[in-house]
Amino acid sequence: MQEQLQDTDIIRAVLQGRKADYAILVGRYQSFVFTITSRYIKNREEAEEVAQDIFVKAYLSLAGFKGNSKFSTWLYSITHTTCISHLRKHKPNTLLIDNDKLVVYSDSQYHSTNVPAGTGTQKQAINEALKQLPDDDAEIITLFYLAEQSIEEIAVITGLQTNNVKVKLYRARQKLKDIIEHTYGKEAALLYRN
Amino acid sequence: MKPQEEKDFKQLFSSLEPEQPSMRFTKNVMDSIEGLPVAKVSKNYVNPWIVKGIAAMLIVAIVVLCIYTYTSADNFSMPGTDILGKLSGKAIPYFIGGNIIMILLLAERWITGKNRINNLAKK
Repeated sequence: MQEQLQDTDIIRAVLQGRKADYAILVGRYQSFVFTITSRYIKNREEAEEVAQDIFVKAYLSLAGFKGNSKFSTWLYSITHTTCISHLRKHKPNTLLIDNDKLVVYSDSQYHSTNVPAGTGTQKQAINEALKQLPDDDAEIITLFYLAEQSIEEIAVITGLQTNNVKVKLYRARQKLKDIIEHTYGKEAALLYRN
Repeated sequence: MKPQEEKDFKQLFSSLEPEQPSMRFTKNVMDSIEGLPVAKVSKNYVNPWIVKGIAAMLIVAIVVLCIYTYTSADNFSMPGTDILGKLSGKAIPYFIGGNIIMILLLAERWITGKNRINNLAKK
Protein backbone atom coordinates (compact mmCIF):
# COMPACT_ATOMS: atom_id res chain seq x y z
CA MET A 1 0.00 0.00 0.00
CA GLN A 2 2.79 2.45 0.86
CA GLU A 3 4.53 1.89 -2.52
CA GLN A 4 1.35 2.94 -4.29
CA LEU A 5 1.30 6.31 -2.57
CA GLN A 6 2.64 9.07 -4.77
CA ASP A 7 5.08 11.55 -3.35
CA THR A 8 2.57 14.35 -3.77
CA ASP A 9 -0.04 12.42 -1.77
CA ILE A 10 2.40 11.93 1.07
CA ILE A 11 3.41 15.59 1.01
CA ARG A 12 -0.24 16.64 1.13
CA ALA A 13 -0.81 14.37 4.11
CA VAL A 14 2.22 15.75 5.95
CA LEU A 15 1.11 19.33 5.32
CA GLN A 16 -2.29 18.43 6.71
CA GLY A 17 -0.69 17.35 9.94
CA ARG A 18 0.14 13.68 9.48
CA LYS A 19 3.80 14.12 10.27
CA ALA A 20 4.43 10.39 10.61
CA ASP A 21 3.90 9.97 6.85
CA TYR A 22 7.11 11.88 6.26
CA ALA A 23 8.95 8.74 7.33
CA ILE A 24 7.74 7.13 4.08
CA LEU A 25 9.47 9.80 2.02
CA VAL A 26 12.61 9.50 4.12
CA GLY A 27 12.66 5.74 3.68
CA ARG A 28 12.09 6.09 -0.03
CA TYR A 29 14.91 8.53 -0.73
CA GLN A 30 17.38 8.13 2.14
CA SER A 31 19.75 5.89 0.20
CA PHE A 32 19.94 8.21 -2.82
CA VAL A 33 20.39 11.32 -0.70
CA PHE A 34 23.04 9.57 1.37
CA THR A 35 24.84 8.35 -1.76
CA ILE A 36 24.89 11.82 -3.34
CA THR A 37 26.06 13.32 -0.06
CA SER A 38 28.81 10.71 0.14
CA ARG A 39 30.14 11.91 -3.21
CA TYR A 40 31.01 15.22 -1.53
CA ILE A 41 31.67 14.16 2.06
CA LYS A 42 33.93 11.17 2.29
CA ASN A 43 33.54 10.59 6.02
CA ARG A 44 30.58 8.26 6.45
CA GLU A 45 29.37 9.57 9.80
CA GLU A 46 29.62 13.16 8.65
CA ALA A 47 27.81 12.33 5.39
CA GLU A 48 25.01 10.69 7.34
CA GLU A 49 24.65 13.74 9.58
CA VAL A 50 24.47 16.04 6.58
CA ALA A 51 21.96 13.74 4.88
CA GLN A 52 19.77 13.88 7.98
CA ASP A 53 20.02 17.69 7.95
CA ILE A 54 18.91 17.64 4.32
CA PHE A 55 15.74 15.79 5.18
CA VAL A 56 15.06 18.17 8.06
CA LYS A 57 15.51 21.14 5.69
CA ALA A 58 13.22 19.48 3.16
CA TYR A 59 10.59 18.97 5.85
CA LEU A 60 10.76 22.61 6.93
CA SER A 61 10.46 23.75 3.29
CA LEU A 62 7.83 21.20 2.30
CA ALA A 63 5.12 23.80 1.87
CA GLY A 64 7.32 25.49 -0.73
CA PHE A 65 7.36 22.46 -3.00
CA LYS A 66 5.14 23.62 -5.82
CA GLY A 67 4.99 20.39 -7.80
CA ASN A 68 6.66 21.97 -10.86
CA SER A 69 9.17 19.13 -10.85
CA LYS A 70 9.46 15.68 -9.34
CA PHE A 71 9.88 15.59 -5.60
CA SER A 72 13.16 13.74 -6.10
CA THR A 73 14.52 16.58 -8.26
CA TRP A 74 13.55 19.12 -5.62
CA LEU A 75 15.07 17.01 -2.86
CA TYR A 76 18.30 16.48 -4.78
CA SER A 77 18.52 20.24 -5.37
CA ILE A 78 18.47 20.74 -1.60
CA THR A 79 21.05 17.95 -1.31
CA HIS A 80 23.34 19.63 -3.82
CA THR A 81 23.21 23.10 -2.25
CA THR A 82 23.54 21.73 1.28
CA CYS A 83 26.63 19.70 0.37
CA ILE A 84 28.24 22.68 -1.35
CA SER A 85 27.50 24.90 1.68
CA HIS A 86 28.83 22.29 4.06
CA LEU A 87 32.07 21.95 2.13
CA ARG A 88 32.53 25.72 2.08
CA LYS A 89 32.09 25.93 5.83
CA HIS A 90 34.21 22.91 6.61
CA LYS A 91 36.89 23.19 3.99
CA PRO A 92 39.48 20.49 4.70
CA ASN A 93 43.19 21.26 4.54
CA THR A 94 43.84 19.48 1.30
CA LEU A 95 45.78 20.33 -1.78
CA LEU A 96 43.58 21.60 -4.58
CA ILE A 97 43.76 19.40 -7.64
CA ASP A 98 43.07 20.63 -11.11
CA ASN A 99 39.93 18.82 -12.18
CA ASP A 100 41.17 18.60 -15.75
CA LYS A 101 44.01 16.38 -14.70
CA LEU A 102 43.13 12.85 -13.82
CA VAL A 103 44.83 12.01 -10.55
CA VAL A 104 44.81 8.29 -9.91
CA TYR A 105 46.41 7.03 -6.77
CA SER A 106 47.16 3.39 -6.47
CA ASP A 107 46.06 1.42 -3.51
CA SER A 108 47.74 -1.92 -3.30
CA GLN A 109 44.45 -3.54 -2.36
CA TYR A 110 42.72 -2.40 -5.52
CA HIS A 111 45.58 -2.02 -7.95
CA SER A 112 45.08 -5.54 -9.08
CA THR A 113 45.01 -7.02 -12.50
CA ASN A 114 42.53 -9.59 -11.33
CA VAL A 115 38.95 -8.43 -11.40
CA PRO A 116 37.38 -10.52 -8.69
CA ALA A 117 34.35 -12.47 -9.63
CA GLY A 118 31.12 -11.86 -7.79
CA THR A 119 28.94 -8.80 -7.90
CA GLY A 120 29.82 -7.71 -4.34
CA THR A 121 33.44 -6.93 -5.07
CA GLN A 122 32.58 -5.55 -8.50
CA LYS A 123 30.26 -3.04 -6.86
CA GLN A 124 33.05 -2.22 -4.49
CA ALA A 125 35.40 -1.72 -7.43
CA ILE A 126 32.98 0.63 -9.17
CA ASN A 127 32.37 2.54 -5.93
CA GLU A 128 36.10 2.90 -5.42
CA ALA A 129 36.47 4.19 -8.99
CA LEU A 130 33.68 6.71 -8.36
CA LYS A 131 35.46 7.93 -5.23
CA GLN A 132 38.45 8.85 -7.36
CA LEU A 133 36.40 11.19 -9.51
CA PRO A 134 36.06 14.87 -8.62
CA ASP A 135 33.03 15.48 -6.39
CA ASP A 136 30.86 17.18 -8.98
CA ASP A 137 31.59 14.52 -11.63
CA ALA A 138 30.76 11.74 -9.20
CA GLU A 139 27.53 13.54 -8.32
CA ILE A 140 26.45 13.86 -11.95
CA ILE A 141 27.21 10.19 -12.62
CA THR A 142 25.22 9.23 -9.52
CA LEU A 143 22.27 11.45 -10.43
CA PHE A 144 22.14 10.17 -14.00
CA TYR A 145 22.71 6.45 -13.55
CA LEU A 146 21.63 5.70 -10.00
CA ALA A 147 18.99 8.30 -9.26
CA GLU A 148 17.78 8.18 -12.90
CA GLN A 149 17.44 11.91 -13.30
CA SER A 150 17.27 13.32 -16.80
CA ILE A 151 19.76 15.84 -18.16
CA GLU A 152 17.22 18.63 -17.72
CA GLU A 153 16.54 17.61 -14.13
CA ILE A 154 20.26 17.47 -13.37
CA ALA A 155 20.57 20.96 -14.84
CA VAL A 156 17.92 22.19 -12.41
CA ILE A 157 19.55 20.39 -9.47
CA THR A 158 23.06 21.67 -10.13
CA GLY A 159 22.13 25.08 -11.52
CA LEU A 160 24.07 24.43 -14.72
CA GLN A 161 22.91 24.85 -18.29
CA THR A 162 21.69 21.68 -20.01
CA ASN A 163 24.58 21.71 -22.47
CA ASN A 164 27.06 22.03 -19.61
CA VAL A 165 25.54 18.99 -17.93
CA LYS A 166 25.88 16.97 -21.14
CA VAL A 167 29.54 17.94 -21.47
CA LYS A 168 30.28 17.26 -17.79
CA LEU A 169 28.55 13.89 -17.97
CA TYR A 170 30.52 12.91 -21.05
CA ARG A 171 33.80 13.96 -19.44
CA ALA A 172 32.93 12.23 -16.17
CA ARG A 173 32.25 8.99 -18.03
CA GLN A 174 35.55 9.26 -19.85
CA LYS A 175 37.40 9.86 -16.61
CA LEU A 176 35.65 6.93 -14.94
CA LYS A 177 36.49 4.71 -17.87
CA ASP A 178 40.12 5.79 -17.68
CA ILE A 179 40.23 5.08 -13.95
CA ILE A 180 38.75 1.61 -14.40
CA GLU A 181 41.06 0.75 -17.29
CA HIS A 182 44.09 2.12 -15.46
CA THR A 183 43.27 0.15 -12.34
CA TYR A 184 42.21 -3.12 -13.90
CA GLY A 185 43.87 -3.06 -17.28
CA LYS A 186 42.58 -5.70 -19.66
CA GLU A 187 40.26 -7.14 -17.04
CA ALA A 188 38.31 -3.87 -17.02
CA ALA A 189 36.07 -5.35 -19.71
CA LEU A 190 34.93 -7.96 -17.17
CA LEU A 191 33.44 -5.19 -15.06
CA TYR A 192 31.19 -4.18 -17.93
CA ARG A 193 30.07 -7.62 -18.87
CA ASN A 194 29.45 -9.25 -15.48
CA MET B 1 29.55 8.68 -26.87
CA LYS B 2 29.40 5.56 -28.95
CA PRO B 3 26.26 3.46 -28.49
CA GLN B 4 28.31 0.46 -27.36
CA GLU B 5 30.12 2.54 -24.78
CA GLU B 6 26.80 3.93 -23.56
CA LYS B 7 25.46 0.40 -23.34
CA ASP B 8 28.55 -0.71 -21.44
CA PHE B 9 28.12 2.10 -18.95
CA LYS B 10 24.46 1.35 -18.40
CA GLN B 11 25.35 -2.28 -17.81
CA LEU B 12 28.13 -1.23 -15.47
CA PHE B 13 25.77 0.79 -13.31
CA SER B 14 22.84 -1.58 -13.55
CA SER B 15 24.42 -3.73 -10.86
CA LEU B 16 25.27 -0.76 -8.67
CA GLU B 17 23.03 0.09 -5.76
CA PRO B 18 22.96 3.26 -3.74
CA GLU B 19 24.78 3.21 -0.43
CA GLN B 20 22.63 2.58 2.59
CA PRO B 21 22.81 4.75 5.69
CA SER B 22 22.54 3.33 9.18
CA MET B 23 19.37 1.61 10.39
CA ARG B 24 18.58 4.52 12.70
CA PHE B 25 18.58 7.08 9.87
CA THR B 26 14.83 7.45 9.50
CA LYS B 27 14.30 7.48 13.25
CA ASN B 28 16.97 10.16 13.67
CA VAL B 29 15.27 12.33 11.05
CA MET B 30 11.83 11.88 12.60
CA ASP B 31 13.25 12.68 16.04
CA SER B 32 14.82 15.84 14.61
CA ILE B 33 11.57 17.09 13.13
CA GLU B 34 9.59 16.29 16.25
CA GLY B 35 8.07 19.51 17.43
CA LEU B 36 9.18 21.41 14.33
CA PRO B 37 6.35 22.97 12.37
CA VAL B 38 6.32 22.91 8.62
CA ALA B 39 7.02 26.45 7.45
CA LYS B 40 4.04 28.08 5.86
CA VAL B 41 4.44 29.27 2.32
CA SER B 42 5.13 32.99 2.42
CA LYS B 43 2.28 33.76 0.08
CA ASN B 44 -0.15 32.55 2.72
CA TYR B 45 0.76 35.26 5.18
CA VAL B 46 2.22 37.99 3.00
CA ASN B 47 -0.23 39.57 0.60
CA PRO B 48 1.55 39.81 -2.77
CA TRP B 49 -0.38 42.95 -3.60
CA ILE B 50 1.23 44.70 -0.65
CA VAL B 51 4.68 43.79 -1.94
CA LYS B 52 3.78 44.96 -5.45
CA GLY B 53 2.29 48.14 -4.09
CA ILE B 54 5.44 49.03 -2.15
CA ALA B 55 7.58 48.30 -5.21
CA ALA B 56 5.34 50.46 -7.41
CA MET B 57 5.50 53.33 -4.89
CA LEU B 58 9.28 53.21 -4.85
CA ILE B 59 9.55 53.17 -8.65
CA VAL B 60 7.07 56.05 -9.01
CA ALA B 61 8.93 58.04 -6.35
CA ILE B 62 12.25 57.57 -8.14
CA VAL B 63 10.77 58.52 -11.53
CA VAL B 64 9.04 61.63 -10.14
CA LEU B 65 12.22 62.69 -8.38
CA CYS B 66 14.27 62.32 -11.56
CA ILE B 67 11.79 64.25 -13.66
CA TYR B 68 11.49 67.04 -11.09
CA THR B 69 15.25 67.31 -10.72
CA TYR B 70 15.96 67.48 -14.44
CA THR B 71 13.18 69.93 -15.21
CA SER B 72 13.67 72.33 -12.33
CA ALA B 73 17.43 72.75 -12.37
CA ASP B 74 19.39 74.83 -14.88
CA ASN B 75 22.51 73.15 -16.27
CA PHE B 76 21.90 70.18 -14.05
CA SER B 77 24.82 67.83 -13.68
CA MET B 78 25.63 65.41 -10.93
CA PRO B 79 29.31 64.92 -10.24
CA GLY B 80 30.73 61.77 -11.71
CA THR B 81 27.70 61.03 -13.85
CA ASP B 82 28.71 62.91 -16.98
CA ILE B 83 29.79 59.64 -18.57
CA LEU B 84 28.02 60.20 -21.84
CA GLY B 85 29.61 63.62 -22.16
CA LYS B 86 33.06 62.09 -21.99
CA LEU B 87 32.33 59.68 -24.79
CA SER B 88 32.82 60.69 -28.37
CA GLY B 89 29.77 60.99 -30.59
CA LYS B 90 30.36 57.67 -32.31
CA ALA B 91 30.85 55.75 -29.08
CA ILE B 92 27.51 56.64 -27.56
CA PRO B 93 25.38 54.36 -29.78
CA TYR B 94 27.75 51.46 -29.14
CA PHE B 95 27.62 52.17 -25.42
CA ILE B 96 23.83 52.22 -25.40
CA GLY B 97 23.67 49.19 -27.71
CA GLY B 98 26.01 47.22 -25.42
CA ASN B 99 23.80 47.98 -22.43
CA ILE B 100 20.68 46.91 -24.33
CA ILE B 101 22.35 43.64 -25.34
CA MET B 102 23.37 42.93 -21.74
CA ILE B 103 19.84 43.62 -20.52
CA LEU B 104 18.41 41.28 -23.16
CA LEU B 105 20.89 38.53 -22.23
CA LEU B 106 19.99 38.81 -18.56
CA ALA B 107 16.29 38.76 -19.40
CA GLU B 108 16.74 35.71 -21.62
CA ARG B 109 18.65 33.89 -18.89
CA TRP B 110 15.95 34.69 -16.35
CA ILE B 111 13.12 33.56 -18.63
CA THR B 112 15.02 30.40 -19.61
CA GLY B 113 15.52 29.54 -15.97
CA LYS B 114 11.81 29.86 -15.25
CA ASN B 115 10.86 27.87 -18.35
CA ARG B 116 13.27 25.08 -17.46
CA ILE B 117 11.41 24.37 -14.27
CA ASN B 118 7.99 24.74 -15.91
CA ASN B 119 8.98 22.33 -18.69
CA LEU B 120 9.93 19.70 -16.14
CA ALA B 121 6.40 19.86 -14.78
CA LYS B 122 4.93 19.24 -18.22
CA LYS B 123 6.88 16.01 -18.74
